Formats: sequence, structure tokens, C-alpha cells
Amino acid sequence: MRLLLVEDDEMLAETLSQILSKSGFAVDIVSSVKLAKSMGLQEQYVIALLDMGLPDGEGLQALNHWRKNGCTFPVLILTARNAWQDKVDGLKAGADDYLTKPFHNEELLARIQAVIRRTQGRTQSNIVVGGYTLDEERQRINTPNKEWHSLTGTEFRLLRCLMGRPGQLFSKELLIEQLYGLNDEAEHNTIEVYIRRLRRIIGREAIHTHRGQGYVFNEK
Amino acid sequence: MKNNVIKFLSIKSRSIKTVLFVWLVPIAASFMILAWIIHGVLLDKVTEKLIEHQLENQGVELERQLRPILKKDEHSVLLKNYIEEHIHHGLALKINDKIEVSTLWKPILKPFLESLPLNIDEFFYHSTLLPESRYFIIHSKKFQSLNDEIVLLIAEDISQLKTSNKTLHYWTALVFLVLSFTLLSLIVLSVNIALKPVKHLGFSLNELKTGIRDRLPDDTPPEFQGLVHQINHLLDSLEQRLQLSRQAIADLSHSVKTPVAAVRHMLTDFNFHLDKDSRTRLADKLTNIDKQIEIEMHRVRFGGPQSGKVAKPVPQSRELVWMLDRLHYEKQFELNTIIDEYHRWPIEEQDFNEIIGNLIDNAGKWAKHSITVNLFENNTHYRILVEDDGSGVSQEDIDKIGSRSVRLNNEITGHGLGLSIIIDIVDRYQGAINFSNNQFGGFSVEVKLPKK
Repeated sequence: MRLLLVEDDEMLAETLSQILSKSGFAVDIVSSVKLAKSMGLQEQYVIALLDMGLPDGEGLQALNHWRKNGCTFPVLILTARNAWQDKVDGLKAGADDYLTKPFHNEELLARIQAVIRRTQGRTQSNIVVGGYTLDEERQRINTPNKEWHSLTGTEFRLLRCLMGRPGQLFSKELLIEQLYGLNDEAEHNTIEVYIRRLRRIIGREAIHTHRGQGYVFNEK
Repeated sequence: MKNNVIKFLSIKSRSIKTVLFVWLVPIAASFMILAWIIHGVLLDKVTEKLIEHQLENQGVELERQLRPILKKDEHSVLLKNYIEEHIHHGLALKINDKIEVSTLWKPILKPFLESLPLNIDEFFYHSTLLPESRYFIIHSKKFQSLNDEIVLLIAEDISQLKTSNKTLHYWTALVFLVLSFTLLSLIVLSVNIALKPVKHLGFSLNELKTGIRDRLPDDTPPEFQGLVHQINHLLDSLEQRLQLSRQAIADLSHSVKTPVAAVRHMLTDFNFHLDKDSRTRLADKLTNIDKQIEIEMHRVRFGGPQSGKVAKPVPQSRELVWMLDRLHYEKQFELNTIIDEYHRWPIEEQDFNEIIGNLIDNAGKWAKHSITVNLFENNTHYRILVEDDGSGVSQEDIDKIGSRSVRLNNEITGHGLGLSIIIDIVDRYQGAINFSNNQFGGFSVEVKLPKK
């Protein structure tokens, strides 16, 4: 199992490499964004550990480069920054988990195993309707202006339901049935609230309301 | 060219004084010119009305005199007498088809008398250019005397009056010019007096820059009070943050230097044998140092009320819910709110992230299957309620957490640093935090921040 470790602190890289080797990984160490970008594309890695602050730039630059070029291996961010926005940015860029420095070796190994297990057999699955792309794996949508928007669970399920059959009319009852189990009680105006929120995110044109009948995702 | 004009007239970035002058001076000058023009027109009108009135009176008088003597054919005498009495007036009579006109006025009045229609009783304005420019007002009158139809024309030469009016009007221009200069001087004076507080504010800012004063004075006009209040608030919060940072660095130095010294001595003393126990102690010391750094970093990161960018609660919560949903793969995170996507809360952006991020993160750790984040707003409060379906917390622990004796330096067992951070931020906003077990058997944390 090959692992890419992107870390510029030599001492940390060395000790991590030893620990990871003992756990059965073949570790490649790189210490710059430039090298990380090319190594990620050249080799088949089972996972990459990515430091955020590197001498020639941000770790996110390498991550963006990998994802843009179709690399799907999981990425665990190792960061000394602990602001929530940094974590969100990392995951939005395509990371699978983050670990704040300093960390215990056991925690790092457990996270690596969890991320590998979780992402095994992961396939890129998108629903494309018109200018909209719903990324099922990352639970987000790309709008015609090429912006990605993250979605909460219900927003995602509602959109997947509508985009799964574009042009088909879904009644409110049918949508509630699809979104909530039999034991869950949805409030009467729940669907309206979520449709309103989705329209704010993806634009007013995408979802049409058929008064008294239901909602349709615009095919065009 | 057009752009330059628009740029010149744009008031956003120009000096207030320039804008006031650019608008007030031309407006005042235009009003004065307009007033002068109106004065000229009114002067002419009043003069004409006066003459018309005189001519009308004379017409009535002549009619009264003419009626009894018509039969005796004495109108020529009357005409002669009238002309002698009123040397400036012209008179013409038409009795049936017979026309009598004063000699000097013949070229002007005769054509009128010949061409006018029969039903006339009005005023005409007539002018001649040659041999010189002359202006006349002619009053026509028609009446019956027995079987005779009489048409009477009385005329007055108003050329002299017009010339006098013109001279008067030019003199008035001089008066208007003096008035305009007075008005402009008053405008300059008023603008300078009105902008005195701005000048004063400029001096105060300069004093602030050079360190003579540490706040701006409060006695400013109402228009600047908000600005001054905000600047003073920023200065206060800057001062507060500086103190806080210094305090944080002092605390950090105090709590970190000693363990750092101990670790260094242990590592550099080659006679000291590093057994398992020593290594564990070293690791513990480093963990403690890290915790202290973390606490102080959080402390200096707090924005506090009315500082930095304000929060957009829905998009910010959505992103954090999305992120934690991805990290806790087996659990469902949901956001419930009817608050508008673009609505803002006056809470500093990072502070809001710290509150909501730590609340959801904690709930994610304890939940069995699902976590719900609710955002509400009423007339008095902004409310964040995070519920999980975990095993809840014992009443004893709830009392302990709720006692508010817990602060950032006291980590709450089982809740990590997160809850302490939330409590500290909520305190800054003078809000309240409530802990309870919910109907799902899990734990609920509600943060209420007051609207001000």
C-alpha cells in the first residue's frame, strides 16, 4: 500500500514515515507543492497525508490539482490551523478528513484506516441535468456558473430525487415519502421551506412549481 | 467628456465643501438671473396695464363728451381740443363712413380705422421701425348714437416709457449683482460655519494620530455621532484586543516556558536515561504545552460584538453541517431553519463558526444516528439549538456545566475544549446557554444571543 506524505518538517516526516512503514505502508515523502502535484499524478497511492503550509504554497493547491486531473485517492489533511473555515475549505477542495497537529500516532493510524475503508470502491457518481451536476459522493451541486455548493442531507436527497427524473412532476406527498421514513413526521410546510432554500442555492429557474400539483426539475 | 462631468458631479468621494459650492453657487446665481428677468417682464407689464387703464378712462370720457354733440357736427372741434390737451395721445373717429384723425397720427391710426372689423372694444400693440423704433398702445371703442355708428381710437406713444423702463432694468441689474455677491458671501460663510465640526473632527483625528488624545470627542453634530461612536468603539475594541493579546502572550509565556525548560533539560542532559516513564512524562508535558497554546490562540481569535465581518448564519451553518456530515459518515446531520439565506446576524463571522462548529462537533461525538441544528430568530434573541439522539448527560453534569464557573481554562470532561470556547464567546455577547436532555434521550444545547 503506497502512501504519499507531503510534509516539510523533516523530523515529523521522518518519524511519521517510520510509524507508517511499520504499519505496512510504502511511504513516499515530498516537501513541496510542486513535487506533490507531480507525484500524485504519477503514482497510484492508497492515501495521501497532506500538510497545509508548505514552503512553496498551500497544500490545497496540490489537492485541487489532483482532483482536477481525476485523482480519486483519499486525502487526509494534517494541519496546524484549527479555524473551522480552514477545515471546511479543505473538505470542499476534496479532502476526506483532517487531523489537527499535534496528534497521537494511534489517532493518525486509526483515521488513515477509517478513511481508506470509507473510500474503498468509491466511484465518481454524478447526476447531470442541463447545466447542473449533482456530485453524489461529495453531496454537492455544480451550478451553470461553475460554482460548487455544498448541500445538507435533506437538501441533497430532495435534489437527487428531483434531478433523478428531470421533467417529471413530484407531488409534495411523494417527496415527503422519499425524504422521510414512515416513522418520521414531517411538518406540513417542510417541502416548501427546502424548495425555497434550494432555489436560493441553485437559482429560481431550476425547479418549477406546478400550483397545487407539485414540483419539476427543469430539464433544459 | 461626459464621464469627466459625471465624475465631477459625483458626491461620494468629493469634499463636502466643493460639493456644496458646486451645487449652491450656480443655483443661487441662476435664481438671481431669473429674478432679474422676471423683474424686467413685470415692469413692462405693469406699465402697459397702467397705460391701458388711462386710455380706457379717456375713451369713456370721450364717449360721454361726443354723444350730445354729434348731431351738431362739432366733433372736429372736439378732436382739435382733445389733441391740444393731450399732446402725446392720438385720436381717430369714424362716424359711419366719415373718418377724422389727428394730423400727426394719420399714418398710424388711419389704416387701423379702415381695416378693423366692426365689433371692436380692445387694446392693440403696434410698433414701427422707420424712421425710428416706436411703440404704441391703441385702444378702440365702438358705440351707437341714435342712428350713427361711432368707432373711436385713442393711442399713446410708449416708446419713451419703454426706454425709461429699460434704463431702470439695467440699474436693477447692478442691484441684483450686488445682492448676488452678498448671497454668495453668505453661502460661503454658512458652508464654512456648517463645516466647522468637520474641521474640528479633522483636528481631533490628527490629535488621535499623534497620540495627544485616545478617543474622539462626543460633542459632534448628530450626522457624525454614529461615525464617532463607531470609531470610538473600534478604538476601544482595538485597545481591548491589544490588552487581551498581551495578556494571552504573558499567560502563554508563563505556562509554557517552564515545561519547555524542563523538557529541554531532560533531552539535553546526556547522563539522563530516557526510560518509558520519562518518555511518557515528556509527552505529557508537550501535550500540556499544546493545550495552553490552543487555549490562548482561541482567546485572541475571538472577535466579540460589533467587530469584523458579520455572520451569515444559514450558509455558514450549512457548510459546517455538510463538513461534519462528511466526517461522521454513519450519522446524519440536518439543518432546520426558515431564516433567509442572505440574512445576517450581528455576530462576528469567526465567533459564529466557533459556536456552531463546536456545538455540532460535540453533538456529532455523542449522537447515535442524527444531529439537528436549528436556527431561530425572534424580536429579542438569536437562537441556536443543537440536538443529538445520544445518551444525554446526567443532571449532575448539566448543573456543573450550567454553573458558569466553567471557563476556557477549565476543560469540561467529555466535551473537550469546545464547550468552554462556546461559553466564553456567549459571555462576550452577553448571551445565555442552556443545557438539557431532549425527548430523543439525547443532549440539547441552546445558545441565545440578545438583539441590541
